[in-house]
Formats: sequence, structure tokens, C-alpha cells
Amino acid sequence: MNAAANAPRKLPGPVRAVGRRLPRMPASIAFATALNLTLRRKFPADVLDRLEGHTFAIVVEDAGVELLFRVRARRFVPVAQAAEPVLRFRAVAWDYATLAAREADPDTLFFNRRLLVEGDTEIALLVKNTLDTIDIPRTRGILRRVLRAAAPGGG
Amino acid sequence: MNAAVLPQPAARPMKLVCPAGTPPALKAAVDNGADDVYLGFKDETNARNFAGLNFDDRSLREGIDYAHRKGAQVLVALNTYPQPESWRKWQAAVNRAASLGVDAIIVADAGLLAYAAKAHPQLRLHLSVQGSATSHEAINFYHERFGIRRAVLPRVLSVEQAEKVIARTPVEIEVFGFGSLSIMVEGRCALSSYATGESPNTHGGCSPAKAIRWQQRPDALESRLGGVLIDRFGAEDHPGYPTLCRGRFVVNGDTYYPFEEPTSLNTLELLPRLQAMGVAAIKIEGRQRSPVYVETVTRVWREALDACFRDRERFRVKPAWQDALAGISEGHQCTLGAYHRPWK
Repeated sequence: MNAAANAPRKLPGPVRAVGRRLPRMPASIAFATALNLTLRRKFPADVLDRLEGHTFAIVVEDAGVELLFRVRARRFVPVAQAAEPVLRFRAVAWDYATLAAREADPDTLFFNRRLLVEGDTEIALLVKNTLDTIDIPRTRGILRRVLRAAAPGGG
Repeated sequence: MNAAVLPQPAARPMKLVCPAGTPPALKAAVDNGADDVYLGFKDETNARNFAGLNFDDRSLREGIDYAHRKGAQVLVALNTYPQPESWRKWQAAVNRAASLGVDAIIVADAGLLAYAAKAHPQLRLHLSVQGSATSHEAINFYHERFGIRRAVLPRVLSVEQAEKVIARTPVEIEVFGFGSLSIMVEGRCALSSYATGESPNTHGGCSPAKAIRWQQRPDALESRLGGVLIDRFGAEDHPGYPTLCRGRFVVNGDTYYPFEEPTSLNTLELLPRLQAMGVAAIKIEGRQRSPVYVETVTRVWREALDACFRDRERFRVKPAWQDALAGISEGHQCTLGAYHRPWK
């Protein structure tokens, strides 16, 4: 810690080339499923209601992947296309992972231009603050171990 | 005029007062050595009224339990100004804080202080930085009239001025040690209301999120508040929070920050002086920041405060502390703010 203070670690170039060629939907389905399994029950119902009907895009820059999902009936649902998501996040896979593991500070990544957020600032703040409220120690523990193993000299 | 209080050798380290916008941030503060954790309710009774942030009764009750089990105290910030039509909401917030068993409330408004002192005489009162009391006369007035036990000094005083205030008041003095800086007329700033229609003093936020727009243009990232262009950031620039006081504007043909540069306050190097002059507590800004920020800042400042208390003369700021703090600072520049003004 602080993982965010280190230089951004990017996936190898070929990963991006492959990612761009993959169909978007399977990745979005997997991501929405993971959200439903790990986060849905932890999200306060009133927050899910405020996000109802909105589409979100998560761009993993170095993987060449854009994950799209919508909140519907308090669930995360994968989406194939979205004209204008309410929020679009852009970062590399490593930075998303350090955020999820609570090893990086989102504002710091934002100040460093490593996390780009486009769209409705109020919803962005609601999402950020709600994620900060949620404790998922087991998932975070696994992520931290993966990050340690993936870091240079880790193993 | 009150008799001067001679500085005494410190009997304990200065207290470390850390921010919490969420329960995990509270735990991070307590686990890493905060003496006091300050937080707010989920409404405009506090100056960090942002969506998804702050505590309801249940999370506050759990937070107080957690902090007390580990020997820390919980302070509730009720540091905005009630209006005639909203008075009962602020009054109810005082009652809630008292009934939940918080250790102190941090209040700015004189009417609310009067209410709290009368309705809850056992409840410890701290004068908020938003109270904007910069002289010992003002602080002593609040002490005599409402029994405040601690006052947070506005970030406009030099070290010499703060020292004079401390020497002339029986009230514990808390000063800001670290965090984002704003234009520093706390409690009296209505600047952002020109762009948003809302004042931080009554609505609890300088830049309400609904008024903020970030837009990536081909050549720059733009931030706007209520339609007003606050700043443009090139590829190498570090964006900060979009407040009017830290905006970059064209003035007489020159483009610069006419009010305040987007920097962070960092007073680690002043710790021996602050301890010697009798500062009771050091406040860390950042209730809007993540648990990771709170963990990092609390850990560094706990270590520094303890090191300073052990041996004030030999205290040196460790590069590792500065690196850790620089990594999470807004603007990537740290200053001593008003504590050091060579022209004073």
C-alpha cells in the first residue's frame, strides 16, 4: 500500500488486441453475475432504486473491453448496447483491481488521471460512497492475494 | 482580558482527530490510531452532505460501539447553519446525537450551541471551524456563554497568531494538520452559491454534485460548476475538486488561480512547534475521502504524533511519511497554508 502511488501496471499489448475482438456480451454477463453475487445484497435498497433504469459502462482500457450493465428491479443486468450510459468509467485492469481490493484511493486515481469518470457526477458520487460503505472482507482478501502474486517480485 | 496561561510540558501526545464518511472509514481511523473520529448525519446538518455519504442512527450506534471498545471517541459534526424554517431539523440532530451517546458535537451556529448547552448540559461541545472564531476573545465568549470545551481554529492564522490564542484561553485548541484547502473564510463563504444557488453553510456542500460536470474535450478535461467553467486540465495536469475558490480564471488577461491554488495542507514539519505551544488536537480533513485515504493518513499521523511526543527536539519528518501523504493529496502539492506567511 498504497498501490495507487505506483506506476500503472498494464496488461500485455496482445491482451488488448484479443479483448477488442471478443464479443462484448459474454464479458458483460459474467461481470453482472459477479456483481449480483458479491455486491447486490450489500447495496442498500434505496440506492439500487436511485440507480434503477440507468446503464453503466466500465471500460478496461488495457484489455480493450467495455462492460455494460443496467440496474433493473434491484439487480444488475448485462446490456449489449447503450447509446449513452449514465456513467462511463475508464481505467486499466490493475487499477480497477486495486480499487476493488481497497488498496487504492479512488480520488487519488482520479487526481492522477488514471480513473476517468464521464457522466452524472451525483450518481458517480453515490456509487463511490456506497462502494466505500460496503465491507466484503473475504472477496477483498482474495483480490489482495491475487494482486500480491501478480506484482513484480510477488508470488 | 484573561490571564495568560503559561505553556506546560505536554503530558500526552496531541489528539489525532480523523474523518469518517462511512463505517469502513471509521474502522480504518480507529484501527490506525485515531483518538477522535468525526462524522456527520445523512443530511444538510453537516458540511459534507454528499449522496451515499455519512451515518444513519444504526451505523452511528455501531460506530460508537466500535470506537469505544477500542478507546476512541466519536464526534458528530453539526456544523452548518440552520435557517428559520429548518431550525427543528438541526435541533432534532442535536437530540439524536445526544441520545445515541456521542462524545461531543461540533457546532458552528450560536443558536444551536445555546440549545445544546441548555437541553443537554452533559454533552461536550466543540466550536466548529465554521464558527470562524479567530481570536481568544471570541473563543472565550463561546466558552463562557455555552461552555465549549474545544475550538477548531480557522485556517487563516499564522503559527504565531495561533500561539497567542492558545495562551489566552482555557479552551482546548484543535488545528488543521492535513487535507484539502479551500479559500479559508470558514463559515462565511458563500462563493459557490453564485454558481449553484446553494451555500455550503446552509446546504452542506461547496460544490453540490448535481451542479458539477466533468467533460473530456479533445485537448483538455473541463470541470464546470453550475455551468461556470472552473478549470481545464491538459494531459499532464492533475485535476482537483471543482470548487469556485480553486478555479482558474482569466483576470485582466492573465489566466491563474486568483483565490487559492488547489493544494493540500501538510503541517508535519510544524508538529514540535504545535506541541510546544499547547495545541490539544490535530484535525485531518477528508470526510468525503475513501477508507484507504483515512487508513493512510491516520497511520502516518499517529506515528508522527507519537514520535514528536517521545522526543520533540529530535523529531524529524520521515520521507516515507511525506511520500505516503503526497500520494493521496489533492493537487500533489503540499503547503503550510496560513501557518507560514513570510510577509506577516
